[in-house]
Amino acid sequence: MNKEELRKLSEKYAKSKGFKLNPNEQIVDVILEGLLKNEKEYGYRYCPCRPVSGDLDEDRDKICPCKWHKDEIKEMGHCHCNLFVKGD
Amino acid sequence: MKKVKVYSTPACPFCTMVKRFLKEHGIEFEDINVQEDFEAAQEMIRISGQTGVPVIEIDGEVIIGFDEPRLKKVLGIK
Repeated sequence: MNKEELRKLSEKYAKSKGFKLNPNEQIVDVILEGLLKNEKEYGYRYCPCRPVSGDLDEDRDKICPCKWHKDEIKEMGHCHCNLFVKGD
Repeated sequence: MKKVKVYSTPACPFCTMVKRFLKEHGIEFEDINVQEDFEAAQEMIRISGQTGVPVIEIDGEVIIGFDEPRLKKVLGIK
């Protein structure tokens, strides 16, 4: 998957859940690149703003969209790494 | 001089912003890449109680995320 495909997939996911991608494209670019780098390195698109051990059982919760993103968006208006933000 | 540690990962935009902020204010810091140092990652999780970066430790005080007002306060930046 390339960055544009991942962007579209992330947009589609965000829309389906009532939130959206961060309007700051620079932040989104960095996060998408980090996700793809983690996928290449570890086989899964782990959140680039969380340390990864390489053990899937230990890291499963960090696969984007991570376990915490909905609560974070609800509480802070954005997920921890700022890929997803609250919808309009 | 205060001892400043920044727990970060290379692809985290807010880690970059924290490090840029510290450099702009002439603050020396230890940059710890928790993506490469898993023991440091465990230490970061222990002191912050969560798994996200950046985490900044200033003389034992822990700040989670790029909290500029708190960073300024703790570092004495006006």
